[in-house]
Amino acid sequence: MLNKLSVSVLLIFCAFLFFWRLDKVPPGFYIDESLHSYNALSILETGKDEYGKGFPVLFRFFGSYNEPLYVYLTTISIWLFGETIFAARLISALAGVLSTILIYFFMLKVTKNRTTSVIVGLLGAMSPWLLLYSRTGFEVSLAFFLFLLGLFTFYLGTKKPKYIAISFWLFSFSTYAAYTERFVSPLLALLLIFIFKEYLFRKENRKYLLLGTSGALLIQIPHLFLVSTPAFFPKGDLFSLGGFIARYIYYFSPEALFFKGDPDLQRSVPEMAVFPFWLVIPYFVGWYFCFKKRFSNLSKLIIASALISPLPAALTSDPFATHRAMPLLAPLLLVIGIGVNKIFEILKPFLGVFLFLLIFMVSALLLWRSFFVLLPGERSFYWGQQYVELAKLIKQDHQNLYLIDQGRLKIAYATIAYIADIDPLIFQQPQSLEIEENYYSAFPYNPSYSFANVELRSLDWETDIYKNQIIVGDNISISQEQAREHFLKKEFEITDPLGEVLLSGFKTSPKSKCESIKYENTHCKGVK
Amino acid sequence: MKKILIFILIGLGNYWIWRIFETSLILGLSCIIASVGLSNYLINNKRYLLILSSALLVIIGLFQIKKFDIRSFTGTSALERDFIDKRMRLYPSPRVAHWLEQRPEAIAFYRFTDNSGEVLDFNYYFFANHPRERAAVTEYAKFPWFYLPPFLGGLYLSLKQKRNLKFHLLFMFAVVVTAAVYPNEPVGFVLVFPFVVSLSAYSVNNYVK
Repeated sequence: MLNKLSVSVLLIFCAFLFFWRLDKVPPGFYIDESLHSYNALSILETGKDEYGKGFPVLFRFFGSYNEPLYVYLTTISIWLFGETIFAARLISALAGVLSTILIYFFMLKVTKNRTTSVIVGLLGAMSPWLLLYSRTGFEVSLAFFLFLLGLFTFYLGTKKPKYIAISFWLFSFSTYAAYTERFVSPLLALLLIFIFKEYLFRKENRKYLLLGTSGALLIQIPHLFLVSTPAFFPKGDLFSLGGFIARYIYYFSPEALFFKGDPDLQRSVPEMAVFPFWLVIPYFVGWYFCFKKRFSNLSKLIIASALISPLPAALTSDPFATHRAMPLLAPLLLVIGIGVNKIFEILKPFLGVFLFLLIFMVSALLLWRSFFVLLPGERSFYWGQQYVELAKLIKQDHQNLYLIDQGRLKIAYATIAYIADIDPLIFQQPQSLEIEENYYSAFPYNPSYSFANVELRSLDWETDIYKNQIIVGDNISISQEQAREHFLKKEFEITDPLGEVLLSGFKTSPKSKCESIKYENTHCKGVK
Repeated sequence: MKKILIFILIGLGNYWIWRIFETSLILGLSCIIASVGLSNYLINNKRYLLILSSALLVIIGLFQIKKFDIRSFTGTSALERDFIDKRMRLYPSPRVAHWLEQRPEAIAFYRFTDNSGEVLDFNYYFFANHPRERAAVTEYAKFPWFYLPPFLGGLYLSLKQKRNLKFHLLFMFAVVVTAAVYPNEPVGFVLVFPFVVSLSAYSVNNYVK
């Protein structure tokens, strides 16, 4: 009964936190989200991705070759809720809720204390690291849930060995959810086999280990077909060995985890790190008790997963890449949970709950400030809000041709295609047949697109001003002087919530331009 | 003899102490003697060592506090005020916005938490603040990176013994004062120096034993 009540409390809280204004916060629609959702829409309606490839094992996108699970699951949410931002983010939000419930059950198994387990579940839900990626329409949150489930089942397996098989299958399956897990999950599985070898190789447990590893290998068959193609390791250019140790240690630094967070403005929340700041105390307490009982199964599992998880992220030059280091969230939440539990044991129950409620209210206020006030207001540019607004304009205007500058600006084609309801069949047509036939060969990415009444590429000032169209760019793409010189008439401006102009649309006037030219210009021949 | 050699290696075998000596001989000597006192306190648990070290930490603290300006906590530049004004417009309620963005207490709280993060950052002490180097600051590794495991080991070993509670309370107090004062480079968070040295030396001594 109490268990059901605890789960209900958590569910209600998470449903609110993860689903409230899901389509508005984060603002806009980031390119990674729109890539997943547009390809999901394309699969749903045509059985093919944006390039016309039928049910790919890895999705090419713009050369990143992302894992497919999130895309295929999003076809279900789009089928249910239509082509909306809500549908694009739904699977992530569900994965976030499930992760929070799983954290509760994990902590309950570890501590046998329902109160602290609920508290840790609530803290997990309120952690910006989990909350942000659970409200984002790409694969990170889903992969984290599968990875956490793998850890949990492995922990169960240290008492009931049949769960060992399930955990290895889950680790293997998680590699289809995100690129990071493709490295972290197998490495962790190998390390766990080494650490727990005495237990796993016991006569009565061997069959489960064999079942687990053979099942994991079977699950990897689609990957094995692609392992020799360039598509399997597309991010090699991100690797950087210099400063690796410093970056690796930084993933455990209190500054990064509790005070500063991810320096990338799209991957972070204003004025908050990945955990509320006061969790630094349970963090240190948790690590202390983890090392004190370092020979226990739980500590071995936590230490192993903590050591492996940041490796891929630390190998890139990013100072603190939260999306790549997402698996690290699992052992850190467990460490913090152990710390919270120990603090509660020291304090009297009433004092502990009172203190927690007080801190919870302050944390909730600061979370509301950072997540629901500052994030939509200050970061809309980084989340591509301007392209969502532009796509809405394009959707209502089929008469004009739109040329969107992509020379410096972030890739926007998938956002435009998704929000403006571009038919995937129309989108697929101009794509090169060569790409479809050499899909996994990492064909050089061409950032120019043309579909329906939209073109996305770098502006060509020698020719574009002589065509009847609306040119869209920011104030560096199209300056006031250029607009005057080429007789461009401002049609619209797209601003952020603080009034900063993000994009402007200018109608060309080829006739006026040609009339102003005294010499003969070949571009003016067709202009009347 | 071993203890002395270990202390010399750790206490003097780092770039930080020499930068401290360059700034002030008294400050450097205070740091070294405080480190000796705390190291021996961890081993022998003699009360007078803690008192002596605390007195020296007060001297070190005074060096930092004399350059401290309370206005650095609540004062705002024109650019910051403009930024705060923009933020105010994002809130549904002006009163809530005022309390969370404009109140000196709120500004001081945010700055203090930011500073606390920097004081607690391992990379500041062992990796020249890499990968989050500060703009317009010449960073340097206070200690060689391989001193980090002994430091963490010393922290763990000292926490195992309840008799070291006063040491840890003093350590936390030093961290809080440093976060409040936020001294500049090249001296940096010098109040923390004796604790890092004493914990590292404690750990190495235990290992050698």
